[in-house]
Amino acid sequence: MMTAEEYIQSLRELRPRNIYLMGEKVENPVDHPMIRPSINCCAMTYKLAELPEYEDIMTATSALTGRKINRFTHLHQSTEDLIKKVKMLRLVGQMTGACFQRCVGLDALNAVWSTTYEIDKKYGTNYHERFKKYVLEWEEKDWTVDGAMTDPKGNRALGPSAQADPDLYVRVVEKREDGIVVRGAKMHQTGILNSHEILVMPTISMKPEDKDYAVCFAVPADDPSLIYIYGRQSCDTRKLEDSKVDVGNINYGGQEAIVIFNNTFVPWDRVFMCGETEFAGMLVERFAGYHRQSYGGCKVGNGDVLIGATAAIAEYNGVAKASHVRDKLTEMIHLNETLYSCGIACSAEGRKTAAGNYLIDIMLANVCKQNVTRFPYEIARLAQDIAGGLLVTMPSDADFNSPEIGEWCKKLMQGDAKYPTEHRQRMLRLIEAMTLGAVAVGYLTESLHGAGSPQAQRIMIQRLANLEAKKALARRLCGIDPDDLLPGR
Amino acid sequence: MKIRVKYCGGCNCGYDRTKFLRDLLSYLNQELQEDIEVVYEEEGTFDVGLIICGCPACCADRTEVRKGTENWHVVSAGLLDYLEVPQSEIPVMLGQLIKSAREKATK
Repeated sequence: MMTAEEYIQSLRELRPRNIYLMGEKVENPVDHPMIRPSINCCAMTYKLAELPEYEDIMTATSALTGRKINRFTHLHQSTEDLIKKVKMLRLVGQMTGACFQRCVGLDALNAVWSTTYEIDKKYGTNYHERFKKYVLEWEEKDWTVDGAMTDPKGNRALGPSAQADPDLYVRVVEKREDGIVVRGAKMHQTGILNSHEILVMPTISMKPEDKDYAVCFAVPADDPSLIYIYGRQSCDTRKLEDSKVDVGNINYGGQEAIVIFNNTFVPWDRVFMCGETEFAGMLVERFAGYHRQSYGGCKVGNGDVLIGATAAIAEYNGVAKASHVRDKLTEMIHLNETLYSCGIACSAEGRKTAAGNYLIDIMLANVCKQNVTRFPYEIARLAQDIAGGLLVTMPSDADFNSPEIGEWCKKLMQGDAKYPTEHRQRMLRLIEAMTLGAVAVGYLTESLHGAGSPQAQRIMIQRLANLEAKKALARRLCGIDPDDLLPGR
Repeated sequence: MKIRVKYCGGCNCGYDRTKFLRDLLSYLNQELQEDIEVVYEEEGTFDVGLIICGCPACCADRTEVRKGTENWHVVSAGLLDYLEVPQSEIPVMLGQLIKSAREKATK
Protein backbone atom coordinates (compact mmCIF):
# COMPACT_ATOMS: atom_id res chain seq x y z
CA MET A 1 0.00 0.00 0.00
CA MET A 2 1.12 3.59 -0.62
CA THR A 3 1.61 6.04 2.22
CA ALA A 4 0.01 9.47 1.97
CA GLU A 5 3.42 10.98 1.20
CA GLU A 6 4.08 8.41 -1.52
CA TYR A 7 0.67 9.12 -2.99
CA ILE A 8 1.40 12.83 -3.29
CA GLN A 9 4.80 12.04 -4.76
CA SER A 10 3.15 9.68 -7.28
CA LEU A 11 1.02 12.60 -8.52
CA ARG A 12 4.18 14.65 -9.03
CA GLU A 13 5.60 11.82 -11.15
CA LEU A 14 2.70 11.79 -13.61
CA ARG A 15 3.54 13.04 -17.10
CA PRO A 16 2.68 16.72 -17.74
CA ARG A 17 -1.08 17.08 -18.17
CA ASN A 18 -3.19 19.59 -20.06
CA ILE A 19 -4.92 21.16 -17.08
CA TYR A 20 -6.73 24.50 -17.35
CA LEU A 21 -7.95 26.53 -14.38
CA MET A 22 -9.50 29.99 -14.71
CA GLY A 23 -8.21 30.32 -18.25
CA GLU A 24 -4.63 29.39 -17.52
CA LYS A 25 -2.66 26.21 -18.01
CA VAL A 26 -1.54 24.71 -14.69
CA GLU A 27 1.97 23.30 -14.82
CA ASN A 28 2.16 22.14 -11.20
CA PRO A 29 -1.27 21.04 -9.97
CA VAL A 30 0.08 19.36 -6.83
CA ASP A 31 1.17 22.65 -5.27
CA HIS A 32 -1.56 24.85 -6.72
CA PRO A 33 -3.35 26.49 -3.77
CA MET A 34 -6.80 25.94 -5.29
CA ILE A 35 -6.11 22.26 -6.03
CA ARG A 36 -3.94 21.15 -3.12
CA PRO A 37 -6.76 20.93 -0.52
CA SER A 38 -8.47 18.30 -2.67
CA ILE A 39 -5.20 16.35 -2.89
CA ASN A 40 -4.84 16.50 0.90
CA CYS A 41 -8.37 15.20 1.11
CA CYS A 42 -7.72 12.19 -1.14
CA ALA A 43 -4.42 11.59 0.64
CA MET A 44 -6.43 11.00 3.82
CA THR A 45 -7.61 7.70 2.30
CA TYR A 46 -3.96 6.62 2.31
CA LYS A 47 -3.01 8.18 5.63
CA LEU A 48 -5.72 6.48 7.66
CA ALA A 49 -4.87 3.11 6.08
CA GLU A 50 -1.36 3.44 7.53
CA LEU A 51 -2.60 3.76 11.10
CA PRO A 52 -3.25 0.65 13.21
CA GLU A 53 -6.21 2.29 14.92
CA TYR A 54 -8.06 2.45 11.58
CA GLU A 55 -6.67 -0.70 9.96
CA ASP A 56 -9.78 -2.83 10.40
CA ILE A 57 -11.93 -0.41 8.43
CA MET A 58 -9.40 1.11 6.05
CA THR A 59 -7.79 -2.11 4.81
CA ALA A 60 -9.04 -5.46 3.55
CA THR A 61 -7.71 -8.81 2.39
CA SER A 62 -7.58 -8.99 -1.39
CA ALA A 63 -9.93 -11.56 -2.89
CA LEU A 64 -7.42 -11.97 -5.73
CA THR A 65 -4.06 -12.22 -3.97
CA GLY A 66 -4.81 -12.66 -0.26
CA ARG A 67 -2.65 -9.63 0.44
CA LYS A 68 -3.51 -6.67 2.65
CA ILE A 69 -4.83 -3.84 0.49
CA ASN A 70 -6.43 -0.45 0.93
CA ARG A 71 -10.20 -0.98 1.16
CA PHE A 72 -10.64 1.65 -1.57
CA THR A 73 -9.29 -0.97 -4.01
CA HIS A 74 -11.31 -3.91 -2.66
CA LEU A 75 -13.86 -6.18 -4.33
CA HIS A 76 -16.58 -6.58 -1.70
CA GLN A 77 -16.68 -10.22 -0.57
CA SER A 78 -19.59 -10.08 1.86
CA THR A 79 -22.29 -7.85 3.27
CA GLU A 80 -19.83 -7.16 6.09
CA ASP A 81 -17.48 -5.66 3.50
CA LEU A 82 -20.32 -3.47 2.20
CA ILE A 83 -21.03 -2.28 5.74
CA LYS A 84 -17.35 -1.59 6.37
CA LYS A 85 -17.23 0.47 3.22
CA VAL A 86 -19.97 2.78 4.58
CA LYS A 87 -18.16 3.03 7.91
CA MET A 88 -14.90 3.82 6.12
CA LEU A 89 -16.54 6.62 4.14
CA ARG A 90 -18.08 8.10 7.27
CA LEU A 91 -14.67 8.02 8.96
CA VAL A 92 -12.86 9.74 6.09
CA GLY A 93 -15.72 12.24 5.82
CA GLN A 94 -15.25 13.07 9.49
CA MET A 95 -11.51 13.52 9.10
CA THR A 96 -11.73 15.81 6.07
CA GLY A 97 -15.11 17.53 6.31
CA ALA A 98 -15.17 17.43 2.53
CA CYS A 99 -15.41 15.13 -0.48
CA PHE A 100 -12.36 12.86 -0.54
CA GLN A 101 -13.13 11.62 -4.07
CA ARG A 102 -11.83 8.07 -3.96
CA CYS A 103 -15.16 6.24 -3.51
CA VAL A 104 -16.06 6.75 -7.15
CA GLY A 105 -13.27 4.44 -8.29
CA LEU A 106 -14.20 1.82 -5.71
CA ASP A 107 -17.79 1.89 -6.93
CA ALA A 108 -16.72 1.62 -10.57
CA LEU A 109 -14.40 -1.27 -9.68
CA ASN A 110 -17.19 -3.35 -8.20
CA ALA A 111 -19.75 -2.46 -10.87
CA VAL A 112 -17.45 -3.23 -13.80
CA TRP A 113 -16.27 -6.46 -12.14
CA SER A 114 -19.72 -8.05 -12.05
CA THR A 115 -20.97 -6.59 -15.33
CA THR A 116 -17.99 -7.79 -17.39
CA TYR A 117 -18.54 -11.27 -15.98
CA GLU A 118 -22.14 -11.26 -17.16
CA ILE A 119 -21.24 -9.88 -20.60
CA ASP A 120 -18.71 -12.69 -21.04
CA LYS A 121 -21.26 -15.25 -19.87
CA LYS A 122 -23.60 -14.15 -22.63
CA TYR A 123 -21.20 -13.40 -25.48
CA GLY A 124 -18.10 -15.48 -24.73
CA THR A 125 -15.96 -12.32 -24.70
CA ASN A 126 -12.95 -11.96 -22.38
CA TYR A 127 -13.64 -8.58 -20.80
CA HIS A 128 -13.70 -10.00 -17.29
CA GLU A 129 -10.26 -11.59 -17.61
CA ARG A 130 -8.88 -8.31 -18.95
CA PHE A 131 -10.46 -6.42 -16.12
CA LYS A 132 -9.10 -8.88 -13.59
CA LYS A 133 -5.56 -8.17 -14.82
CA TYR A 134 -6.28 -4.46 -14.54
CA VAL A 135 -7.63 -4.87 -11.00
CA LEU A 136 -4.53 -6.78 -9.94
CA GLU A 137 -2.41 -3.82 -11.02
CA TRP A 138 -4.86 -1.40 -9.40
CA GLU A 139 -4.59 -3.21 -6.06
CA GLU A 140 -0.84 -3.65 -6.32
CA LYS A 141 -0.14 0.00 -7.15
CA ASP A 142 -2.85 1.25 -4.78
CA TRP A 143 -4.17 3.60 -7.45
CA THR A 144 -6.74 6.27 -7.06
CA VAL A 145 -9.02 5.69 -10.03
CA ASP A 146 -11.55 8.16 -11.36
CA GLY A 147 -14.80 6.37 -12.21
CA ALA A 148 -16.02 8.48 -15.13
CA MET A 149 -19.69 8.18 -15.99
CA THR A 150 -21.49 11.46 -16.70
CA ASP A 151 -21.43 12.63 -20.32
CA PRO A 152 -22.35 16.20 -21.34
CA LYS A 153 -25.62 14.70 -22.73
CA GLY A 154 -26.66 17.72 -24.85
CA ASN A 155 -30.35 17.49 -25.59
CA ARG A 156 -31.64 15.26 -22.78
CA ALA A 157 -34.65 14.23 -24.86
CA LEU A 158 -32.38 12.52 -27.38
CA GLY A 159 -30.22 9.42 -27.06
CA PRO A 160 -26.45 9.38 -27.67
CA SER A 161 -26.56 8.59 -31.37
CA ALA A 162 -29.33 11.15 -32.05
CA GLN A 163 -27.42 14.20 -30.77
CA ALA A 164 -26.66 17.00 -33.22
CA ASP A 165 -23.06 16.98 -31.98
CA PRO A 166 -21.70 13.43 -31.64
CA ASP A 167 -19.09 14.53 -29.07
CA LEU A 168 -21.77 14.96 -26.41
CA TYR A 169 -21.39 11.29 -25.43
CA VAL A 170 -18.10 9.38 -25.30
CA ARG A 171 -17.90 7.06 -28.29
CA VAL A 172 -15.63 4.82 -30.30
CA VAL A 173 -14.50 6.64 -33.45
CA GLU A 174 -12.13 3.99 -34.73
CA LYS A 175 -11.48 0.30 -34.14
CA ARG A 176 -7.97 -0.86 -34.85
CA GLU A 177 -6.21 -4.18 -34.58
CA ASP A 178 -4.42 -3.02 -31.44
CA GLY A 179 -7.26 -1.09 -29.79
CA ILE A 180 -9.89 1.61 -30.12
CA VAL A 181 -9.87 5.38 -30.47
CA VAL A 182 -12.42 7.24 -28.35
CA ARG A 183 -13.73 10.78 -28.42
CA GLY A 184 -16.01 12.84 -26.18
CA ALA A 185 -15.98 14.13 -22.62
CA LYS A 186 -17.03 13.35 -19.07
CA MET A 187 -18.39 16.10 -16.82
CA HIS A 188 -18.25 16.70 -13.04
CA GLN A 189 -15.29 14.37 -12.56
CA THR A 190 -14.70 14.31 -8.84
CA GLY A 191 -11.01 14.04 -7.98
CA ILE A 192 -9.92 13.31 -11.52
CA LEU A 193 -6.73 15.39 -11.23
CA ASN A 194 -5.85 13.43 -8.11
CA SER A 195 -6.22 10.09 -9.90
CA HIS A 196 -3.69 7.80 -11.52
CA GLU A 197 -6.20 6.19 -13.87
CA ILE A 198 -9.59 6.91 -15.41
CA LEU A 199 -12.17 4.14 -15.75
CA VAL A 200 -14.81 5.23 -18.23
CA MET A 201 -18.36 3.82 -18.24
CA PRO A 202 -21.49 4.62 -20.26
CA THR A 203 -23.88 7.07 -18.62
CA ILE A 204 -27.31 5.68 -19.57
CA SER A 205 -29.09 2.58 -20.86
CA MET A 206 -28.56 2.26 -24.58
CA LYS A 207 -30.36 1.02 -27.66
CA PRO A 208 -28.87 -1.01 -30.52
CA GLU A 209 -28.29 2.19 -32.56
CA ASP A 210 -26.01 3.47 -29.76
CA LYS A 211 -23.48 0.67 -30.24
CA ASP A 212 -20.49 3.02 -30.61
CA TYR A 213 -21.38 4.65 -27.29
CA ALA A 214 -21.64 1.44 -25.27
CA VAL A 215 -18.00 1.51 -24.27
CA CYS A 216 -16.12 0.92 -21.03
CA PHE A 217 -12.36 1.37 -20.87
CA ALA A 218 -9.44 2.58 -18.77
CA VAL A 219 -6.70 5.07 -19.61
CA PRO A 220 -3.85 6.53 -17.57
CA ALA A 221 -4.80 9.94 -16.19
CA ASP A 222 -1.64 11.39 -17.77
CA ASP A 223 -2.45 10.26 -21.30
CA PRO A 224 -1.26 13.17 -23.48
CA SER A 225 -4.51 13.30 -25.48
CA LEU A 226 -6.58 14.27 -22.43
CA ILE A 227 -7.61 17.85 -21.66
CA TYR A 228 -8.83 18.87 -18.21
CA ILE A 229 -10.88 21.95 -17.35
CA TYR A 230 -11.13 22.66 -13.63
CA GLY A 231 -14.55 23.52 -12.22
CA ARG A 232 -15.08 26.67 -10.17
CA GLN A 233 -16.43 26.44 -6.65
CA SER A 234 -18.17 29.00 -4.53
CA CYS A 235 -15.58 31.23 -2.75
CA ASP A 236 -12.73 29.25 -4.38
CA THR A 237 -10.35 32.21 -4.75
CA ARG A 238 -10.24 32.61 -0.97
CA LYS A 239 -7.72 29.76 -1.23
CA LEU A 240 -5.41 32.21 -3.03
CA GLU A 241 -5.42 34.68 -0.13
CA ASP A 242 -2.54 34.89 2.35
CA SER A 243 -4.67 34.02 5.37
CA LYS A 244 -6.49 30.69 5.27
CA VAL A 245 -8.96 31.58 8.03
CA ASP A 246 -11.64 32.75 5.60
CA VAL A 247 -11.47 29.44 3.69
CA GLY A 248 -13.15 27.76 6.66
CA ASN A 249 -11.95 24.21 6.06
CA ILE A 250 -8.36 25.29 5.79
CA ASN A 251 -6.60 22.15 4.50
CA TYR A 252 -9.21 20.00 2.80
CA GLY A 253 -11.67 20.35 -0.07
CA GLY A 254 -13.26 18.69 -3.07
CA GLN A 255 -12.53 18.89 -6.75
CA GLU A 256 -14.49 18.53 -9.99
CA ALA A 257 -13.22 18.87 -13.53
CA ILE A 258 -14.22 18.16 -17.10
CA VAL A 259 -12.09 15.64 -18.97
CA ILE A 260 -11.97 15.67 -22.75
CA PHE A 261 -10.98 12.56 -24.69
CA ASN A 262 -9.51 14.13 -27.78
CA ASN A 263 -9.13 11.03 -29.98
CA THR A 264 -7.66 8.94 -27.19
CA PHE A 265 -6.18 5.56 -28.05
CA VAL A 266 -7.09 2.64 -25.77
CA PRO A 267 -5.37 -0.75 -26.23
CA TRP A 268 -7.71 -3.76 -26.24
CA ASP A 269 -6.47 -5.00 -22.88
CA ARG A 270 -7.98 -1.87 -21.35
CA VAL A 271 -11.36 -2.20 -23.10
CA PHE A 272 -14.06 -3.78 -20.93
CA MET A 273 -17.19 -3.25 -23.03
CA CYS A 274 -17.43 -2.38 -26.69
CA GLY A 275 -20.83 -2.39 -28.31
CA GLU A 276 -22.83 -4.63 -25.92
CA THR A 277 -25.58 -2.05 -25.59
CA GLU A 278 -27.92 -4.16 -23.45
CA PHE A 279 -25.32 -4.25 -20.66
CA ALA A 280 -24.90 -0.47 -20.47
CA GLY A 281 -28.00 -0.25 -18.28
CA MET A 282 -26.74 -2.95 -15.92
CA LEU A 283 -23.41 -1.18 -15.49
CA VAL A 284 -25.07 2.19 -14.89
CA GLU A 285 -27.56 0.73 -12.42
CA ARG A 286 -24.89 -1.08 -10.43
CA PHE A 287 -22.42 1.82 -10.37
CA ALA A 288 -25.19 4.25 -9.41
CA GLY A 289 -26.40 1.82 -6.75
CA TYR A 290 -22.97 1.56 -5.15
CA HIS A 291 -22.49 5.30 -5.36
CA ARG A 292 -25.89 5.96 -3.79
CA GLN A 293 -24.80 3.71 -0.93
CA SER A 294 -21.56 5.71 -0.63
CA TYR A 295 -23.48 8.87 0.17
CA GLY A 296 -24.91 7.15 3.25
CA GLY A 297 -21.33 7.19 4.57
CA CYS A 298 -19.35 10.19 3.33
CA LYS A 299 -22.11 12.79 3.74
CA VAL A 300 -22.82 11.47 7.21
CA GLY A 301 -19.16 12.00 8.11
CA ASN A 302 -19.38 15.55 6.77
CA GLY A 303 -22.62 15.96 8.70
CA ASP A 304 -20.83 14.93 11.90
CA VAL A 305 -18.39 17.80 11.32
CA LEU A 306 -21.18 20.30 10.67
CA ILE A 307 -23.12 19.18 13.73
CA GLY A 308 -19.94 19.51 15.80
CA ALA A 309 -19.28 22.97 14.40
CA THR A 310 -22.85 24.01 15.15
CA ALA A 311 -22.69 22.73 18.72
CA ALA A 312 -19.40 24.59 19.17
CA ILE A 313 -20.69 27.88 17.78
CA ALA A 314 -23.73 27.60 20.06
CA GLU A 315 -21.29 27.47 22.99
CA TYR A 316 -19.22 30.37 21.62
CA ASN A 317 -22.43 32.38 21.20
CA GLY A 318 -23.53 31.54 24.75
CA VAL A 319 -26.75 29.81 23.67
CA ALA A 320 -25.80 26.14 24.08
CA LYS A 321 -28.27 25.60 26.90
CA ALA A 322 -31.26 27.17 25.17
CA SER A 323 -33.88 24.44 24.74
CA HIS A 324 -34.62 25.25 21.10
CA VAL A 325 -30.90 25.10 20.26
CA ARG A 326 -30.58 21.69 21.89
CA ASP A 327 -33.68 20.53 20.07
CA LYS A 328 -32.31 21.71 16.73
CA LEU A 329 -29.03 19.92 17.36
CA THR A 330 -31.02 16.77 18.18
CA GLU A 331 -32.90 17.13 14.90
CA MET A 332 -29.62 17.51 13.00
CA ILE A 333 -28.29 14.33 14.63
CA HIS A 334 -31.53 12.47 13.89
CA LEU A 335 -31.38 13.42 10.22
CA ASN A 336 -27.71 12.52 9.94
CA GLU A 337 -28.11 9.14 11.62
CA THR A 338 -31.11 8.38 9.42
CA LEU A 339 -28.83 8.73 6.39
CA TYR A 340 -26.33 6.41 8.04
CA SER A 341 -29.08 3.88 8.75
CA CYS A 342 -29.94 3.83 5.06
CA GLY A 343 -26.29 3.30 4.11
CA ILE A 344 -25.99 0.41 6.55
CA ALA A 345 -29.35 -1.08 5.54
CA CYS A 346 -28.65 -1.25 1.82
CA SER A 347 -25.31 -2.88 2.66
CA ALA A 348 -26.72 -5.42 5.12
CA GLU A 349 -29.32 -6.42 2.54
CA GLY A 350 -26.71 -6.73 -0.21
CA ARG A 351 -26.29 -9.83 -2.34
CA LYS A 352 -23.69 -11.88 -4.10
CA THR A 353 -23.33 -11.36 -7.84
CA ALA A 354 -22.63 -14.13 -10.34
CA ALA A 355 -19.04 -12.83 -10.47
CA GLY A 356 -18.70 -13.39 -6.72
CA ASN A 357 -18.45 -9.84 -5.39
CA TYR A 358 -21.28 -8.27 -3.43
CA LEU A 359 -23.82 -5.74 -4.60
CA ILE A 360 -25.92 -3.48 -2.38
CA ASP A 361 -29.71 -3.71 -2.27
CA ILE A 362 -30.62 -1.40 -5.13
CA MET A 363 -33.99 -0.29 -3.72
CA LEU A 364 -32.55 0.64 -0.32
CA ALA A 365 -29.53 2.35 -1.92
CA ASN A 366 -31.91 4.52 -3.93
CA VAL A 367 -33.93 5.32 -0.81
CA CYS A 368 -30.64 6.22 0.90
CA LYS A 369 -29.63 8.63 -1.84
CA GLN A 370 -33.15 10.11 -2.08
CA ASN A 371 -32.87 11.08 1.58
CA VAL A 372 -29.37 12.44 0.95
CA THR A 373 -30.87 14.82 -1.63
CA ARG A 374 -32.87 16.42 1.19
CA PHE A 375 -31.50 15.94 4.70
CA PRO A 376 -28.12 17.72 4.33
CA TYR A 377 -30.04 20.83 3.23
CA GLU A 378 -32.14 20.72 6.40
CA ILE A 379 -29.04 20.06 8.50
CA ALA A 380 -27.34 23.03 6.82
CA ARG A 381 -30.41 25.24 7.42
CA LEU A 382 -30.40 24.38 11.10
CA ALA A 383 -26.64 25.03 11.29
CA GLN A 384 -27.16 28.49 9.80
CA ASP A 385 -30.10 29.10 12.12
CA ILE A 386 -27.98 28.42 15.21
CA ALA A 387 -24.85 30.15 13.84
CA GLY A 388 -26.66 33.45 13.30
CA GLY A 389 -26.42 36.09 10.59
CA LEU A 390 -22.80 36.89 11.32
CA LEU A 391 -22.10 33.79 9.24
CA VAL A 392 -22.52 35.90 6.12
CA THR A 393 -21.68 39.42 7.33
CA MET A 394 -18.45 38.88 9.24
CA PRO A 395 -15.48 40.99 8.08
CA SER A 396 -12.53 39.28 6.43
CA ASP A 397 -9.55 37.97 8.35
CA ALA A 398 -7.55 40.81 6.84
CA ASP A 399 -9.80 43.23 8.75
CA PHE A 400 -9.26 41.31 11.97
CA ASN A 401 -5.52 41.75 11.43
CA SER A 402 -5.67 45.39 10.33
CA PRO A 403 -3.74 47.79 12.58
CA GLU A 404 -6.50 50.39 12.12
CA ILE A 405 -9.68 48.34 12.66
CA GLY A 406 -8.51 44.96 13.94
CA GLU A 407 -9.22 45.78 17.57
CA TRP A 408 -12.73 46.93 16.67
CA CYS A 409 -13.35 43.61 14.88
CA LYS A 410 -12.10 41.57 17.82
CA LYS A 411 -14.14 43.64 20.31
CA LEU A 412 -17.40 43.54 18.37
CA MET A 413 -17.17 39.94 17.21
CA GLN A 414 -16.63 38.45 20.65
CA GLY A 415 -19.16 36.00 22.10
CA ASP A 416 -18.92 34.14 25.41
CA ALA A 417 -15.71 35.50 26.96
CA LYS A 418 -14.61 31.95 27.77
CA TYR A 419 -13.75 31.48 24.10
CA PRO A 420 -11.29 33.50 21.99
CA THR A 421 -12.95 35.59 19.30
CA GLU A 422 -10.70 33.93 16.75
CA HIS A 423 -12.28 30.56 17.56
CA ARG A 424 -15.71 32.03 16.87
CA GLN A 425 -14.40 33.53 13.65
CA ARG A 426 -12.89 30.20 12.48
CA MET A 427 -15.95 28.12 13.42
CA LEU A 428 -18.29 30.49 11.60
CA ARG A 429 -16.09 30.28 8.52
CA LEU A 430 -16.19 26.48 8.65
CA ILE A 431 -20.00 26.50 8.83
CA GLU A 432 -20.07 29.03 6.02
CA ALA A 433 -17.76 26.84 3.90
CA MET A 434 -19.91 23.77 4.47
CA THR A 435 -23.27 25.39 3.89
CA LEU A 436 -22.61 27.93 1.15
CA GLY A 437 -18.89 28.04 0.42
CA ALA A 438 -16.44 25.75 -1.33
CA VAL A 439 -17.26 22.67 0.74
CA ALA A 440 -21.00 23.07 0.12
CA VAL A 441 -20.27 21.94 -3.43
CA GLY A 442 -19.74 18.49 -1.96
CA TYR A 443 -22.03 18.61 1.04
CA LEU A 444 -25.08 20.12 -0.62
CA THR A 445 -25.23 20.25 -4.42
CA GLU A 446 -23.31 17.01 -4.81
CA SER A 447 -25.76 15.48 -2.36
CA LEU A 448 -28.54 16.65 -4.65
CA HIS A 449 -27.13 15.69 -8.05
CA GLY A 450 -24.16 13.39 -7.44
CA ALA A 451 -24.82 9.70 -8.18
CA GLY A 452 -27.94 10.85 -10.00
CA SER A 453 -30.44 13.64 -9.42
CA PRO A 454 -33.48 13.01 -7.18
CA GLN A 455 -35.76 12.01 -10.04
CA ALA A 456 -33.36 9.23 -11.06
CA GLN A 457 -33.84 7.62 -7.65
CA ARG A 458 -37.60 8.08 -7.75
CA ILE A 459 -37.75 6.29 -11.08
CA MET A 460 -35.76 3.38 -9.63
CA ILE A 461 -37.87 3.29 -6.47
CA GLN A 462 -41.03 3.21 -8.55
CA ARG A 463 -39.63 0.51 -10.83
CA LEU A 464 -38.42 -1.73 -8.03
CA ALA A 465 -41.44 -1.43 -5.75
CA ASN A 466 -43.84 -4.32 -6.24
CA LEU A 467 -47.15 -2.47 -6.06
CA GLU A 468 -49.11 -5.53 -7.15
CA ALA A 469 -47.84 -7.48 -4.14
CA LYS A 470 -48.76 -4.60 -1.85
CA LYS A 471 -52.26 -4.41 -3.38
CA ALA A 472 -52.69 -8.14 -2.78
CA LEU A 473 -51.85 -7.61 0.91
CA ALA A 474 -54.58 -4.99 1.14
CA ARG A 475 -57.13 -7.07 -0.79
CA ARG A 476 -56.71 -10.01 1.60
CA LEU A 477 -57.15 -7.91 4.71
CA CYS A 478 -60.29 -6.14 3.56
CA GLY A 479 -61.96 -9.34 2.40
CA ILE A 480 -61.74 -8.96 -1.36
CA ASP A 481 -59.36 -11.92 -1.55
CA PRO A 482 -59.67 -15.05 0.61
CA ASP A 483 -57.49 -15.22 3.73
CA ASP A 484 -55.80 -18.60 3.62
CA LEU A 485 -53.89 -17.90 6.80
CA LEU A 486 -56.96 -17.39 9.02
CA PRO A 487 -57.21 -20.12 11.71
CA GLY A 488 -60.27 -22.36 11.40
CA ARG A 489 -60.75 -21.91 7.68
CA MET B 1 -36.34 -37.46 -8.34
CA LYS B 2 -36.08 -35.93 -4.92
CA ILE B 3 -35.96 -32.15 -4.67
CA ARG B 4 -35.06 -30.45 -1.41
CA VAL B 5 -36.65 -27.03 -1.08
CA LYS B 6 -35.52 -24.36 1.34
CA TYR B 7 -37.51 -21.14 1.40
CA CYS B 8 -36.23 -17.87 2.82
CA GLY B 9 -38.29 -16.36 5.62
CA GLY B 10 -40.47 -14.41 3.20
CA CYS B 11 -40.28 -11.00 4.90
CA ASN B 12 -40.60 -8.90 1.76
CA CYS B 13 -41.27 -11.04 -1.27
CA GLY B 14 -40.99 -9.58 -4.72
CA TYR B 15 -42.93 -12.53 -6.12
CA ASP B 16 -45.03 -15.53 -5.09
CA ARG B 17 -42.50 -18.20 -4.09
CA THR B 18 -45.00 -21.05 -3.81
CA LYS B 19 -46.41 -20.27 -7.24
CA PHE B 20 -42.86 -20.30 -8.58
CA LEU B 21 -42.37 -23.82 -7.22
CA ARG B 22 -45.70 -24.95 -8.68
CA ASP B 23 -44.68 -23.59 -12.09
CA LEU B 24 -41.32 -25.31 -11.90
CA LEU B 25 -42.85 -28.64 -10.90
CA SER B 26 -45.43 -28.35 -13.63
CA TYR B 27 -42.62 -27.90 -16.18
CA LEU B 28 -40.58 -30.80 -14.77
CA ASN B 29 -43.60 -33.10 -14.65
CA GLN B 30 -44.10 -32.48 -18.37
CA GLU B 31 -40.46 -32.86 -19.30
CA LEU B 32 -39.23 -35.71 -17.10
CA GLN B 33 -40.53 -39.27 -17.20
CA GLU B 34 -40.26 -39.87 -13.46
CA ASP B 35 -41.96 -39.07 -10.20
CA ILE B 36 -40.86 -35.94 -8.40
CA GLU B 37 -40.81 -35.78 -4.65
CA VAL B 38 -40.44 -32.43 -2.89
CA VAL B 39 -39.03 -32.50 0.62
CA TYR B 40 -38.50 -29.71 3.10
CA GLU B 41 -36.50 -31.63 5.71
CA GLU B 42 -32.77 -31.00 5.62
CA GLU B 43 -31.65 -34.52 6.56
CA GLY B 44 -30.82 -37.10 3.89
CA THR B 45 -29.64 -36.93 0.30
CA PHE B 46 -31.37 -35.32 -2.65
CA ASP B 47 -31.01 -35.06 -6.40
CA VAL B 48 -31.51 -31.31 -6.49
CA GLY B 49 -31.54 -28.58 -3.87
CA LEU B 50 -33.53 -25.37 -4.38
CA ILE B 51 -33.15 -22.24 -2.30
CA ILE B 52 -36.16 -20.09 -3.09
CA CYS B 53 -35.77 -16.52 -1.91
CA GLY B 54 -38.15 -13.59 -2.03
CA CYS B 55 -35.62 -10.84 -2.69
CA PRO B 56 -32.08 -10.50 -4.11
CA ALA B 57 -30.48 -10.61 -0.66
CA CYS B 58 -30.96 -14.43 -0.88
CA CYS B 59 -30.55 -14.69 2.88
CA ALA B 60 -31.44 -18.41 2.91
CA ASP B 61 -28.37 -19.26 0.83
CA ARG B 62 -26.15 -20.33 3.69
CA THR B 63 -23.40 -22.94 3.84
CA GLU B 64 -25.29 -25.07 6.34
CA VAL B 65 -28.27 -25.25 3.99
CA ARG B 66 -26.25 -26.55 1.04
CA LYS B 67 -25.92 -30.18 2.05
CA GLY B 68 -27.35 -33.50 0.87
CA THR B 69 -26.50 -32.82 -2.79
CA GLU B 70 -23.90 -31.05 -4.92
CA ASN B 71 -26.62 -29.77 -7.19
CA TRP B 72 -27.99 -26.60 -5.60
CA HIS B 73 -29.70 -23.67 -7.28
CA VAL B 74 -30.72 -20.30 -5.86
CA VAL B 75 -33.64 -18.33 -7.21
CA SER B 76 -35.02 -14.96 -6.25
CA ALA B 77 -36.96 -12.13 -7.83
CA GLY B 78 -35.21 -11.75 -11.20
CA LEU B 79 -32.20 -13.87 -10.23
CA LEU B 80 -31.22 -17.40 -11.14
CA ASP B 81 -27.99 -18.52 -9.51
CA TYR B 82 -27.22 -14.81 -9.07
CA LEU B 83 -27.47 -14.02 -12.79
CA GLU B 84 -30.09 -11.42 -13.69
CA VAL B 85 -32.85 -12.98 -15.83
CA PRO B 86 -36.51 -12.08 -16.45
CA GLN B 87 -38.61 -13.38 -13.55
CA SER B 88 -41.22 -14.99 -15.81
CA GLU B 89 -38.57 -17.11 -17.53
CA ILE B 90 -36.96 -18.54 -14.40
CA PRO B 91 -39.19 -21.65 -13.95
CA VAL B 92 -38.46 -22.84 -17.49
CA MET B 93 -34.76 -21.87 -17.39
CA LEU B 94 -34.25 -23.64 -14.09
CA GLY B 95 -36.34 -26.60 -15.30
CA GLN B 96 -34.03 -26.93 -18.31
CA LEU B 97 -30.95 -26.85 -16.07
CA ILE B 98 -32.39 -29.57 -13.83
CA LYS B 99 -33.51 -31.61 -16.81
CA SER B 100 -30.13 -31.55 -18.54
CA ALA B 101 -28.30 -32.38 -15.27
CA ARG B 102 -30.74 -35.25 -14.71
CA GLU B 103 -30.22 -36.60 -18.20
CA LYS B 104 -26.46 -36.50 -17.77
CA ALA B 105 -26.70 -38.27 -14.39
CA THR B 106 -28.93 -41.08 -15.68
CA LYS B 107 -26.88 -41.77 -18.83
